[in-house]
Parts: sequence; C-alpha cells; structure tokens
Amino acid sequence: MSNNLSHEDIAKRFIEAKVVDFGAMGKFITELGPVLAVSDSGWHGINLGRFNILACMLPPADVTRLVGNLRTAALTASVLEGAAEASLPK
Amino acid sequence: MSIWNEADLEARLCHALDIARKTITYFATTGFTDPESPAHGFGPEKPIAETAMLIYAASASAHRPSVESRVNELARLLIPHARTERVLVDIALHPALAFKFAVPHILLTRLGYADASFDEFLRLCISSQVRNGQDRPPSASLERKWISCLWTGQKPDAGWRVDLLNSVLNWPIDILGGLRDDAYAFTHLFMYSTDFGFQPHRLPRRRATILGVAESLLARYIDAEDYDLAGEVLLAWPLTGAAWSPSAAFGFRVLASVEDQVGILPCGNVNHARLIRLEGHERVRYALGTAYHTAYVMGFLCAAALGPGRVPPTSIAGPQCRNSCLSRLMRYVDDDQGHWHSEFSSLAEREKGSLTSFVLNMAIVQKCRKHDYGAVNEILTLACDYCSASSPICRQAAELLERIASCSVVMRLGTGDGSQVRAK
Repeated sequence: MSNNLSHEDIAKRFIEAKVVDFGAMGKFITELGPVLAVSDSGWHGINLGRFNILACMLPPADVTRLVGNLRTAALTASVLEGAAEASLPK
Repeated sequence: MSIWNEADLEARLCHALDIARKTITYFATTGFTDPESPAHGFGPEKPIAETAMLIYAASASAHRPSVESRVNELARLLIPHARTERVLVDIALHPALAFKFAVPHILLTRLGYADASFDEFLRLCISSQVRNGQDRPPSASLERKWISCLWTGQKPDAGWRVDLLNSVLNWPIDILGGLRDDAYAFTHLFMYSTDFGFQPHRLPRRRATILGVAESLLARYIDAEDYDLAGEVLLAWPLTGAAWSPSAAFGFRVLASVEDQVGILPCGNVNHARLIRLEGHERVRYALGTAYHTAYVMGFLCAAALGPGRVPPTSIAGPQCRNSCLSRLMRYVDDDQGHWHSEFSSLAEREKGSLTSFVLNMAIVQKCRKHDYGAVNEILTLACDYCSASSPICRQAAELLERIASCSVVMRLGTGDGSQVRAK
C-alpha cells in the first residue's frame, strides 16, 4: 500500500470494508486477549539476566499497569524525598 | 510567542540528576533484585550506562552552575563503576559487546575523565576477529557506530546512512500495533543520530514526515500513561531542532503537569500497596528501583529543551480546523484513562482548535485499543469529510480496517456472504 494514500483511497477502502461486522470482529479480537503485548520478549528478552545493559528502555513487564491516580502515585516521590543522605546504605 | 521558563526546565533537569545520585548510590554495585517481581530487576550495568548518558546529555547545560556541579559529582561517582574488574572481564569475554560495556567509560572520557589504560585494553578487544559476531538490528548497529565515533573522534561514515535507511526512522513504524521495542528503537535513533543534540540531525527521510509519525506515537503513549516512551518521543523535536508542533508542545505540558502533581514523572510499574508495606531502606530501594528510569527521561527531555532555540512554547498555537470538526471528534474521545484531559480542558478555545490533529490521533488510538473498529471507521469518515485524513495514523488505521475486513472474510464472521466482498 502506498504511503501517499489519498483521501479518496481511504474512503474507498473503508466503504468497501463495511460489508464486515466490525463489532463482531472487535469482540472476537478482544476475547483473544493481548497475547502479543504480554508475551513480547523482543530484543531485551534475549538480554535479560546478568547482562542487562539495555539503557533507556523499560521492558514490557515494567509497564503493564497504568500510572493511575496521581495522588497515589505521589507516594513514590514522597518516599524518595524522605530518604535522607545520612541514612543511605553503606 | 512566550516560551517555557528556562529556570523551570533547569530545575527539572537538576531534579533528575539528584535522583541519579541516589540511583548510583543504591544500585551501582549490585543492581536491583525484586523478589516479588523478578522481571523488574536489573543489573548494575543498566543504571550506570543510563546515568552516564544522562550526564552526557546534561553537559550541554554545564554553563549553568547548578547543572555543572551535579554533572561533575555524578561523573566522579560513576568512575569507579564504569571501569570495574567486572566490566573488564565482560569485555574480554565478549568482544562483540565491547562497545556496549564501554559506554560509561567513553562518555566519561568525553566529559574529561579519561583512562588511558582502559582505552589500551579496549583497543585490543575491539580488534578481535569476533568484534562483529553479534546480530544487530539497525538501531543497535547505529548505537555502536555512535559510541565508536565518540571514542575515536571519527566522523560518521556511509554505514550510518545504511543503518538509518534500514531503520524505523525510514520504514513506517507500526503506530497502532507495534511493540515497545520498536518505539524504543525509534526514539533511540534520534538520540544516536544527533549525538543527544550535539550534532546536526541525520535523518533518512524528511524531518517533517518523521515528526508526523512521532505525533501519532505521542498520542498512543500519552493514552497509555506511558510517560517513559511519551517523554522519549518528545525528544524528537528538540534533538532535531524542529519547532515544537502544537501536539508536541501540549505533550510537554502534560508531562510537566503530571510531574508537578506526582513529584516525579511516574511509571506504572509501582505497586503502591507494596510500597506502603515496606519500610526503611527496602522501601526506598523499591521506590527508586521502579521510578528512577522515567525520572531520567524527564531529565533527558529538559536537557534537550534547554538547547538554544529549543525551549517549548507555553501556549499552543497552530493551524485551526473548522470548529465543528473538533467538537465532532471529541464525541469519540474517552476519559477512562490518561491524565491529559484536565490539561486540555484548561486550554483556551483557540489552543484547543490547534490540537485537532492530536485529538484525532487520540480518538483513533483509543478506539483501536478497545478494538472498536466501527468507531475507527466513523472517525476516518469524519476525518475525510474535513480533509484531515492524510496523517500516518489515519493511513495505518485505514489499512488496519482493510486487514480486519479481509480477516473477517477468511474467518466467515462478516454479515454478508463472500460474494459481497471486494475481490483481491
């Protein structure tokens, strides 16, 4: 498919696609579950373990949850602010 | 147009550097092991390399005393960890990974903290016949070239262009269904190809085209409350010296607002019930181990944004779509997740009008996330009506509907019989 899809091309494609029950397809895909997102091992999967030098990346396991309520999330910062220099581990 | 207060950007960068000092203190020797969630653990090499990159990026603002003192202190803290026996042995045993292990050493050298004997050893190891005996995707290949050029002082050669042409900066990235690894490749390529903003950008396609993709990715990761990737995507504008688009300027506002409300740019991996249960050092270790990385991303972003002419605007200004377009699109936008809605509501009407493309991207992202393809269908129709459907995400959403339609035909879930379907 060309990168330069015109408005007309887009319209044509989804008009033709209307023979499909998108609701049923959506339900079916939802029931299949997020297989790929959860099972993605990817490049970092190969490198987990002792050699974990993947700078600037968070593996998917780290972001399976939403941040959620920001007031609750603020607990993390208060814990870090409360960590006095004098009490740092030897 | 008024721009973001530089003192505020500097304060955010210093906050990230202060987090870095704690991170090195806690994790530079033994890393972080999480007995309840082993996947959250990491070795010491990770925070060491990330901290080295952060202070390298921050060094562009070393003319600011508060930044300079922190960069130098962190460099001195990193030195013993960057050139340990463990690092030397790792390089000796795995010369194909030598440059990865040597990232902290090379960045410290660039910052003025050299070590000639380590250089001598590294020179020996990278001359090994197996130095290229590792399968590297284009982003990893470019990372290696970047750090190698920093070490040797050589200018980028033709190999850079080959990697960039084969990368997701050239090939359209899958905005709707792509993996986080692919998004990281996209964002890291900006870091390496611009040397964290120290060099002019080398891009395989028109910058405007690639930034159009970045805008779509931004919507996806703001919707996902993934501020790590949202922050890294935003780097595309200051690192390439591009003027902040309305979507990018709004994205920065959202991240800054979230950071202000939380005290740190948050990540969704923190189990707050567990955080409350823990005590003392274990509580701090857990908080820091789960939170430091996203805090660093804000540091990278503010470091880049402090570059000359790269400060984001405070107000959102851009071309206006017809009023009715935005109001019709907003009917498709949900508020079940994400922290951008209140920031959007606080905008003036004209600012909202200039974010029509952001809202369009967000509507498509949300409906695809929920597999509500009927709604995606309607959104694309609406976008076509207003001549706003030529963005990367609209094209990819249309293709997605086409594939789902085809899939449905094969699976015989369509409402019509096979004869009603367009023949291939």
